[in-house]
Amino acid sequence: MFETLQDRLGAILNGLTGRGSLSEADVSAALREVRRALLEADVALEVVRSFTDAVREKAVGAEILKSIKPGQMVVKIVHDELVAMLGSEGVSIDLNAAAPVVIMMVGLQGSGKTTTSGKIANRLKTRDKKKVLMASLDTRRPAAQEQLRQLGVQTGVDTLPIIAGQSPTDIAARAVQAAKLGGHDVVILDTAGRTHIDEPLMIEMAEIKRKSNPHEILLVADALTGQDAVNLARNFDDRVGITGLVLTRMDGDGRGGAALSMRAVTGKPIKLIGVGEKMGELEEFHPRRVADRILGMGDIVSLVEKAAEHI
Amino acid sequence: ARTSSHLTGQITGLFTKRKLDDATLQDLEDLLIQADLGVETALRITDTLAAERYGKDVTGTDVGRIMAGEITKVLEPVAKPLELDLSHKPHVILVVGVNGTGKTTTIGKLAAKLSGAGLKVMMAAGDTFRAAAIEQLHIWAERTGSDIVSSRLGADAAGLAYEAYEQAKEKKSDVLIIDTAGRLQNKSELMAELEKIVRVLGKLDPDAPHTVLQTLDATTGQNAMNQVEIFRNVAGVSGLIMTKLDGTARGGILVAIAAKHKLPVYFIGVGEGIDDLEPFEARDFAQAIAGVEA
Ligand SMILES: Nc1nc2c(ncn2[C@@H]2O[C@H](COP(=O)(O)OP(=O)(O)OP(=O)(O)O)[C@@H](O)[C@H]2O)c(=O)[nH]1
Ligand SMILES: Nc1nc2c(ncn2[C@@H]2O[C@H](COP(=O)(O)OP(=O)(O)OP(=O)(O)O)[C@@H](O)[C@H]2O)c(=O)[nH]1
Ligand SMILES: [Mg+2]
Ligand SMILES: [Mg+2]
Repeated sequence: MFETLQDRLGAILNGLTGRGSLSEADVSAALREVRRALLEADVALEVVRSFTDAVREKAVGAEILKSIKPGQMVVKIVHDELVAMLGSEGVSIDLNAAAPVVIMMVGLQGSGKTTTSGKIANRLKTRDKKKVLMASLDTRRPAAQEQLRQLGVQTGVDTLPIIAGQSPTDIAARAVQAAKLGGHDVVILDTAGRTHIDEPLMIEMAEIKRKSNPHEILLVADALTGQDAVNLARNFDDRVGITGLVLTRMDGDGRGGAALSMRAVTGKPIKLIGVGEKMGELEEFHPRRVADRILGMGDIVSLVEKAAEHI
Repeated sequence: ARTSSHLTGQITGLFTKRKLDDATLQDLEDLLIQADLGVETALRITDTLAAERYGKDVTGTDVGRIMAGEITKVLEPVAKPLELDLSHKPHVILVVGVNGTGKTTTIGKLAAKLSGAGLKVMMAAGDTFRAAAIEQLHIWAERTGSDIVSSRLGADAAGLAYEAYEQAKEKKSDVLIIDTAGRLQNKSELMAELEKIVRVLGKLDPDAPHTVLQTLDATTGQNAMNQVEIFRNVAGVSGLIMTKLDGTARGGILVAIAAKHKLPVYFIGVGEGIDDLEPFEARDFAQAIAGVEA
């Protein structure tokens, strides 16, 4: 689908023959292609800019390893910087708080909140032996509450009984109460999808937070998101202070540049990724894999790593 | 409207009056990229602009207007109203697309429009996979006074389509709208299942499905291009609907899609309500991208 950065850098790689250290000109030529590759992978423009600036700073004057071409050296630096910016792996959901620990799911319409709620509940139950309660605060979308109820049945996780006519904030309070009485370790609050410029719904979201005092607020976002990723991540974070990100549809063939965008503007870790529609299809986040995906050039990186080993 | 005023600010900030030089062109290209047009399409548009005006004095308004004009040229040919051939009874509309892009909601909105025009609509709950997808469509059927055929979770979707066609025939429905489960275009087994639905319908009426609509989410980036490519090949998509344009995403990938695939764009989704489906207007859409007030 995409021409890889490697293909595109080919000409530049061969053209640059300087030895010793990377020159400003070498770096600039390579970074033009890097910029394009990042944009085609849907990394947001403002993030691309600050990213290429950071790389330029690191790369100009950097020593070129023997047997490596300058362009390849740039790519390696780009890759490492990308991994660093994507954050560390294994930052999992934090349950270190008094039970019941509340996890609140937020995000745009259709991003995968309800499905991910079910997946996380399933994981906490089977892997961590936690007693979980799920509650749907989505009183807007047709059959949204029924969807979560069915996922509860599928995974054998309790769901808060549905009471018609109750407001999202009241459901949140009732869920926390029910979890206390029911001896649940964790409560997952699935909220309705909302666009981040829908003021009444953004206010409602903050109100739900106030009522339920969540320990984790996870922004669930589609890995296929384009340039808007920065706006939505920033707005959700500003309004409720998210504690982490979950990227869904990582099983698609998109490049997933939104991961970098959202991580860069919020500084919040990517805690989990969704890799399918089924309840078991939730994985840990591996920054290296995503970096390879965004750049499409794992080969060069291993080449340079090998060269580095031989010093 | 929200998005265009945001952009207008950006463009007027860019220019008071100055020469159209490389730096300015770069700024314009950046604006288009931020609207998700993609690098290639953005470059094509700024190149056209450069060919006409390079080195000349331009104002922000000039540039916005010319850019909107270039984008309109690409979009105009695909802005077509949805036409049904009611000599087919029922006229079968199959709705396909990636997960969560708005298929089921769009069916509800579309049914409201069609029954508002006096047509007898039947829906088929062909998403037999996702939890409560059937219940969701039932609520839309109720809201719009449409008939609905459904089966159970896990049932064969092609079988359900067959059954729905028979019932629509019997009930003399004018239009049958079939919902399908969301699927990513790179999942070949799921795409094969979609192909099977199309095949089964073709056996009932060689021209069915008469319309195949694909929903695209405006927040989707470059992947939307590939979504159209594959769904078109597998399911014979005949027209597009872009949803969620009420957010801040501008859906610029549609410009690249229009240039490449030339598929009609019938409607845009601008909210979750029953009336939030509007005809696609090339000029309005282009102006929103280029930041020109309509
Ligand atoms: N392929 C794939 N599909 C997913 C993934 N996560 C969710 N989905 C699908 O995406 C669609 C939307 O998921 P939901 O969980 O209903 O999304 P939501 O955010 O709760 O939606 P609203 O409540 O309507 O805002 C469904 O078809 C899910 O099966 C994933 O990781 N991979
Ligand atoms: N803001 C906004 N939300 C929309 C629009 N169209 C659909 N939605 C919302 O997007 C979410 C997903 O819509 P669905 O109609 O369930 O999408 P789908 O494609 O049927 O999803 P799956 O069947 O799970 O693949 C729901 O919360 C809808 O209310 C729109 O134009 N604007
Ligand atoms: Mg939901
Ligand atoms: Mg659906």
